[in-house]
Amino acid sequence: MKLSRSSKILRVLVLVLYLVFSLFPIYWMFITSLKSDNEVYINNPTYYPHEPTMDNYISIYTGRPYAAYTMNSIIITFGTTAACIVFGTVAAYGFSRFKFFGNRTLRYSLLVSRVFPPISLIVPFFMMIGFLRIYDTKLANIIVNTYMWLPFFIWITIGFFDTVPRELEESAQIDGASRMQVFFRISMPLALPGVAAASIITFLETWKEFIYNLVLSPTANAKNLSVGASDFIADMFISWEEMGAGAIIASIPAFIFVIFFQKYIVQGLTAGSVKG
Amino acid sequence: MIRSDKIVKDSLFGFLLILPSLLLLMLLVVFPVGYVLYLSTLNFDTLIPNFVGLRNYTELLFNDQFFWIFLGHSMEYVFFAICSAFVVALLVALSLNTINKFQGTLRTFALWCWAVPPVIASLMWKWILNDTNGVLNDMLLKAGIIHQQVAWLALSKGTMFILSQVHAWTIIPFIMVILLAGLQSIPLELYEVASIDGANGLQKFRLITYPLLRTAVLTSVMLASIFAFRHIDIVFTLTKGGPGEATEMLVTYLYDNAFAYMKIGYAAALSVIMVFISMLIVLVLVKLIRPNESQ
Amino acid sequence: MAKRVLLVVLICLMGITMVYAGGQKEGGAEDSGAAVAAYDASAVKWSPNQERVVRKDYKLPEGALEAIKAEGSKEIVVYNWGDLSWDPATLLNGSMFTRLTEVGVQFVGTPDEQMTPKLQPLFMAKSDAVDIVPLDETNYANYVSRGWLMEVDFMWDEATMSEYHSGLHSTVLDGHYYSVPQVGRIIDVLYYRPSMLKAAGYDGPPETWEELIEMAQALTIDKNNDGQIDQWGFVFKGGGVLDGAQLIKAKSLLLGVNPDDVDGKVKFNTPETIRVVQLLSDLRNKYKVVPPGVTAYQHGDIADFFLSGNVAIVVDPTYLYARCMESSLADDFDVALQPVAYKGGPRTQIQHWNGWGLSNFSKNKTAGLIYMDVYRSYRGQVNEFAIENNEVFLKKAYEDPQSKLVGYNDVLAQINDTVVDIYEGQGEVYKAVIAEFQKALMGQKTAEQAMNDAQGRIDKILGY
Repeated sequence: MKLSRSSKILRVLVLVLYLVFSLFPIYWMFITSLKSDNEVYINNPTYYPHEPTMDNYISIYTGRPYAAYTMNSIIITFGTTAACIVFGTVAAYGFSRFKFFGNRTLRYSLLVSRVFPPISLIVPFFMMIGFLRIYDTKLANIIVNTYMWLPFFIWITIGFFDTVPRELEESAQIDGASRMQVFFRISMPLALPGVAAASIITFLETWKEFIYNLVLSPTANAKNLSVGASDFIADMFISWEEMGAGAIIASIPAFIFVIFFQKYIVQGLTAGSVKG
Repeated sequence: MIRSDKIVKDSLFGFLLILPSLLLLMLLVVFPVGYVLYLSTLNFDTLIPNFVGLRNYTELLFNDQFFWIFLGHSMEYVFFAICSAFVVALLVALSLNTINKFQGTLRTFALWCWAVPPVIASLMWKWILNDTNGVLNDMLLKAGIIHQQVAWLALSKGTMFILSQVHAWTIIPFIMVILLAGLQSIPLELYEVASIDGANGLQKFRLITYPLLRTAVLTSVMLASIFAFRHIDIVFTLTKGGPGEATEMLVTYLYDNAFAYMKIGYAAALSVIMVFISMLIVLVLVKLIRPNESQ
Repeated sequence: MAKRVLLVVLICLMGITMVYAGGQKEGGAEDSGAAVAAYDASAVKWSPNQERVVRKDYKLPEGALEAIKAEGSKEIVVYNWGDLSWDPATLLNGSMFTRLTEVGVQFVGTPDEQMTPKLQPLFMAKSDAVDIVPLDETNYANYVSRGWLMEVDFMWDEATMSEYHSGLHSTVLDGHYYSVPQVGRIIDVLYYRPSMLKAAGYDGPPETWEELIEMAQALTIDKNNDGQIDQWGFVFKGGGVLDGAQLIKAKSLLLGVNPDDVDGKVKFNTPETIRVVQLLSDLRNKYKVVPPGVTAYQHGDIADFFLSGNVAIVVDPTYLYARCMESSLADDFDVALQPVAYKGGPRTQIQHWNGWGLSNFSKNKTAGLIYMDVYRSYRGQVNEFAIENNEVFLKKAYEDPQSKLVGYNDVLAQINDTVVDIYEGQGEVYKAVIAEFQKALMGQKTAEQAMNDAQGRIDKILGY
C-alpha cells in the first residue's frame, strides 16, 4: 500500500510523541532506582543519575523475599492465562457459532459479576477461599484471577470468532471434517489475533493484580510483585529509590513477555481469504 | 428432517462447549454476588447488623447529595480518560499497522507502560506531578511554557482532568491492542480496490476501516469505560479525593463507606448501584457504536 | 415473546437464588467458623499489673507459660503499620516475646491505607488468621463496637493506668479496656534550617504564630530571580486521612480549645478553630508562604520537602529526626518546640495513639495477650523510644539511661500537657473536616463557612 510522504511523516510523529509520553514515567522509575537517597531529594530533579548505584536493587533482594514474589507472580499469571485459554477459546467458539437457548443473555450476564467493583467483592471471596482452606496459596490467586478475566477473554474472543467466515467452516465440514477438526484447523488459526490479544490482556492484567492478592496473600507464600512493591511504603514515608527498584523489577518480566508475545498479533488474515 | 436434527445436535454441542466455563463462573459468581446483595439489605450501625430491606438504596438515591455529586465526578473521569485514550490508541494503532520497519520493537515499546502495576504507576505519577520537586513542572518551566510552578494535584477545577489523563496513560495500550488486532483482520485488497476507485485516506478510513472495526471499537471502549468507572488506585494515590472533594468519585465513596466508616451495608448497596450504572454505560455505547450493522 | 418472558423469569430466579445463597452461606460460616468461645482469663495470674509493667526486666505472669502450652500456640500473626524494616523496636520486642514464650511471631507489614481492607474481610469472616491487630484513632472505636476485639479488663486497673500518660484514659470505651498502647507520638515538633534562617537574618526559630508568619515571609524567596519560588518559608499537611484534621486540632489546642471535646461534644466551628483555619488559609493565599499544592500533602510529603531543601521550617512528628540525621542535612537542621499561638499560650499537644488489640477470633489468645503485655511494659516501651524515637505513654520509660540518649529528649521534657481523643465515627468526622478545610484553603469558602459546613456534616454523622 503506497503511503504519501506527508502521511508517513505524520505516522512517525504520532508514534514518537506517544512513545515519549508513555515511556517517560518508566524511564523516570528506572533512573530513580539508580539514585542514592541524597540525589532523590535534591532541589532540582536530575534527568540522569549523577552517581548511579545498584544499592537499591541489592537491598531489596537481600532484605525482602523478592525472589519468592517473582516466582509467585510468574506462576499465578501463567496459570491464569493457561486456564483462560483452555476454557475461554472453547467457550467463545460455542457462543459464536452455535445457536442455543439463552446465548445472548448468557453472554451479557457473563459480564455482570465482573462489573462489580473489586473492592466490594473482597469479603465474600475471602470467605469462599477460607472455606476451601486455600488461603494464602497461589492456587487461590489463580482461581480468583481466572474468575476475573475469563469473561472478558470469552467476550473478546467471541468477537474474533465472529469474523471467521462461516463459509470456510461449512466447506470444510462438507469435505468431511469433524466439528473439532474444523475448530482446531480452521477457526482457531484464523481467530488467532483475537486469542493472542485476549491472552496478552489476561496475562498483563493478572500480573498487575493488586487488591485481591493483597487480601488473599499476606505472606511471601503467594504475594505477587505488584503488592510486594508497596512494601516500601513505610508507616510515615515512602522510600522512593527502593520503590523505583521494586517497580522496575515488578515490571521487567512483563516487559519481557511483551517482547515475545507481541509477534502474534502480527499474524493476521492472509489476503484473499474472503471470497465473494 | 436432517436439517433440524443437525440444528439440535449443533445446539447441544455448542452448549457443551460453553458448559465448563459457565459452571466455573457460576460457582465463583453466585456466592460473592449473592453475598453483596445480601449485605446491601443490612444496616451496620449496631453490633448485630439488622435487616432494612431496600432502605440503603433509597437513602443513596434520594437522600444523599454526595452520591449525585460524586457520580458526576466519576462520569467526568471516565469521559475524559476514554476520549483521550481512544483517540490516541486509534492513531497509534493505525500508524503501527502500516509501518513496516521495526514493527516488533515499536509494538513492544508501545505496550510497555501497560505492564506497570497501577499502584506503582500512580506513585510514579505522583512524584512526577509534584509541584515543587516534580519533573513535569521542571520541564515546563525550562521550556518556558509556564512561569510559576503549577500544583497539578491541587487545582480547584483542573485536577480531575489531570487524573483522567493519568488513567488514559494506563489504558491506551489496552485499547490499542484490541484495535490493532481488529485492524489486522481487515483484508488489504479492500484498500487497494478503494485506491483504484480514487478514494483518499480519510474516505478509506470512514468507509472501510471504521465500519469493519466496529466490534473491536465497541469491545475496547466498553471494557475501558467499565474499568475507568471502578478504578480507584490513581485517585486514591494521587489526591485521595481532594482537594476539597473535587476528585471524590463513586468508587472512593464506596471505599470510604466500606473501610473507613464501616457502613458496610451502605457500601454494598452503592456497589450494586454502580453495577447498574456500568450496564447503562454499556447499553449507551452499544447504541452509539452499533457493531452489527452490515457493511 | 414467550421465550423472552421465560428468560426474564429465569433471571429473576437467579437473582433470588443469589440472595438466598448469600444469606445461607453467611449463616453457615457463622456455625462452622471460629466460634467466639468465652476466654477464661483466670488461668493466668495477671494481677498485680502495675508492678509488672514497671519492672526493668520483664517477667511473665504466673501461669502464662502453661496456659500458652495448653492452647498449643506455635506462632502468632501480628499485623503492623508499615513495613518492619523501619520498625526495629517492634522486631526487638517480638523477639523478646519469642524468647520468653517460645512462640514465634509472624509480622505482616501493611501500609496504612491497606490495613482496613486487609483486616475487615478477616474479621467479617470471623477468621483466625490474625491474632494481634494494630490500632489507632481511625479504627479502634469501630472495631470495638463491632465486637471484633477481646475485652482485656483483667490486664488493667487504675493503679496501672497511673503509670501512663493521662491521655491513655481515652482508650477506655464504655468503661472497658480493649487494648494496650504501642506508641504515643507527639505530632508536632518544629524542624528548621539554621543556615536559611541566618541568611534571612534570624538567630533562632519562631516562638509564636506572629513570628512564624513574619519569618516565613522573609524565608520565602526566589533565589535565582527566575520568577518562581525556590525556597518556601513553611509547609503543612493539608491532605491525608488524619493529617489535615489533626493539624487543625493541634493548632486549636494552642488556643486552648480541643475540637474533639468541647463540653463533651465534637465541635469544629468554635471561634478558635475558625481562627486556625483562617491562619492556615492565609498562609497559603494571603501571605503565600506555603506552596499552593498543600491540599495534596500527606504524611511523608512534608519530610520529602524538608529533605530536599525546598523549605525552611516545617512542623512534623519526631520520626523525621532520625531521617534528617541520616541525610545530607545532618549538620544543618535543628529541632524546637512548635510555636505557641501567643506568648505564654498553652502548649497542649495531641498524642497520637497507636495500640495493639487482640482479635476475638484468635486461637492463640493467651500468647497474644502476653505479646501485648510485653509491649506495654517497661522494656518494650523503652525499646520503642530509645531505638525508634517514638514517644510512648509509659512515664518511667523516659528515665531509662537509653532513653536519655535520644537527641531531642530535652525538647520533649518540656511537653507536659497532652490529649488523646477516641470516639466512634472519628474517621468520618475527620474526613468531613478535611474536605471542608481544603475548600477554605482553595479560597472557595471562607474559614467560617467551611467550618460551619463541616460542623453540619459532623452533626449528621454523630447524630447530634
